[in-house]
Amino acid sequence: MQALTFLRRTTPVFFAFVTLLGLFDPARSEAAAAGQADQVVGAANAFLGSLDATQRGKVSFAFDDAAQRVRWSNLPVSMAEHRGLRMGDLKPVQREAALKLLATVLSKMGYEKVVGIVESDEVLRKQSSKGAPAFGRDEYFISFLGKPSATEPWMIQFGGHHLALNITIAGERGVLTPSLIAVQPAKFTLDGKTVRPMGRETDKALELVKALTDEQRKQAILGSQMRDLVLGPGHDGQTIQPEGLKASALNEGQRRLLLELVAEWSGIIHDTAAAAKMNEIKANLADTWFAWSGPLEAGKAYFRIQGPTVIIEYAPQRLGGDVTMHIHSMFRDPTNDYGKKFGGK
Amino acid sequence: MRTGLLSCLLLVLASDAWAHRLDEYLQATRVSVATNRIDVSIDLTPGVAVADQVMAAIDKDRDGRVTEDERAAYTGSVLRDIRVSLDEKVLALKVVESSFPSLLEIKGGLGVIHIKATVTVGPLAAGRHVFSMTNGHLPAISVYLVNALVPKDRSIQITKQTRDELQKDYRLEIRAGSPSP
Repeated sequence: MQALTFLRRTTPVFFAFVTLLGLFDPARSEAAAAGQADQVVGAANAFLGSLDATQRGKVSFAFDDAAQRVRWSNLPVSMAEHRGLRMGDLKPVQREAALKLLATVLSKMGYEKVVGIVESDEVLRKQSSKGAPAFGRDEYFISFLGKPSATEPWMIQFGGHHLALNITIAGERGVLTPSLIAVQPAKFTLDGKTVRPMGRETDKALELVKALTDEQRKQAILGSQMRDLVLGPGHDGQTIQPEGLKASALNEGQRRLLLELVAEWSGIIHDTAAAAKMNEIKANLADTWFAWSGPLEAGKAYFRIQGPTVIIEYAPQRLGGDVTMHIHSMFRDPTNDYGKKFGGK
Repeated sequence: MRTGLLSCLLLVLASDAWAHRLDEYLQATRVSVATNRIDVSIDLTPGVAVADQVMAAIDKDRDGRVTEDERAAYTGSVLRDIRVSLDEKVLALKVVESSFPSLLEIKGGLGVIHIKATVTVGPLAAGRHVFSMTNGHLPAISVYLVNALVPKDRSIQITKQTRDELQKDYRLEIRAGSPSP
């Protein structure tokens, strides 16, 4: 453990690797005496405290900065403007504090997923030709909207290519919507271990659609090709008409599979907020819909889960040749994107 | 400066598969129904490999610049290629607004053309209505998405959406009535 701690302090990249591989759990290695809100605020202030005045100016935005709020994209950072602090511009101690903040505001599963997505972009960087768009773990940005507070709402944004986390915190409450969770390559090898950052959602979705009866599947399957996300970046505030199979028609086992699938997105945020979100989704489960478009094969089909307080889309992308290796997904809450229920605008 | 960087980037995009979209022209449409009108918002995103064909349709004089007249002409051609009807009565879409990215962005597969159009229909009589739409714009290179937004007017209910496999043909069944209590 001492060796790991030394490496963690000296090599943030290795810190990310070992976390991804499940060898080390940074936030949870400390006593959880304080409440979740205090822990998140403490980690945020520790990160801010590691910055100089110029960096603090770059990372901080007003809570009601509407332009910054929507400044996120699925595109590589060289193709879409990002503001805030670039991870590659941080000193090791600052980078470590940023990762510690992410590990605190996210669940263990969520943090691993995010690190996996970042590491997949590092794979892209190594594969890309000279002069290609900027990829890799240095090309992610962190920003704050509002001031970290245990009582007032504030936001953390972390993102870059294939990742846009918009996390609004209001005391113990927190929302992760809207967030873009995507990956390419969806499967890669890191230190001899196969990593699939969005593997569980891919497999769980297939398990769910295969668990449906023929009649249920007929209702769930949309009779048309879905070539992309419907509510991707730029479509805040829109709610499409739900389609597919209503969860009220599912049996108990099928509902469990649906909720386990939803948890792959709702459970990215820290456990307290994730539990509240899951309770909300369960309360609205009868009015939640599941739709599928494409073959009954892992990672080759579009699917959507839509309820009163949740919209999840998963859309394999043709770009790159193998659709199973390039996935885009969105996680939205039409009632609470950017924490508008918490006083967010 | 940004243009210069984008130019360099586009040189790479031609050989690397990192652009947003490659060999298809994505036309994503959202339909919004109100008691007195139906709005149609279209996002058109040409991929790198088909950008020349789309640019040829926009930049008619091939001078590398897009004038207001060329934008208006292209918007008109898109809307003429989209046939809409309500209860089997053919209607003409009227432009509300449009926006165009630079030709350079289109060439890189990064540009999205936004067109918002509307048809006046109202007020819708109480009961069942069928809105139909067929998108015939540049079919050889296009893929389509079309979805209804949940109506803000609670007296309007979407009862069914039907599409062909490519989503070129879309049928939206609506029920108009008194607002729910």
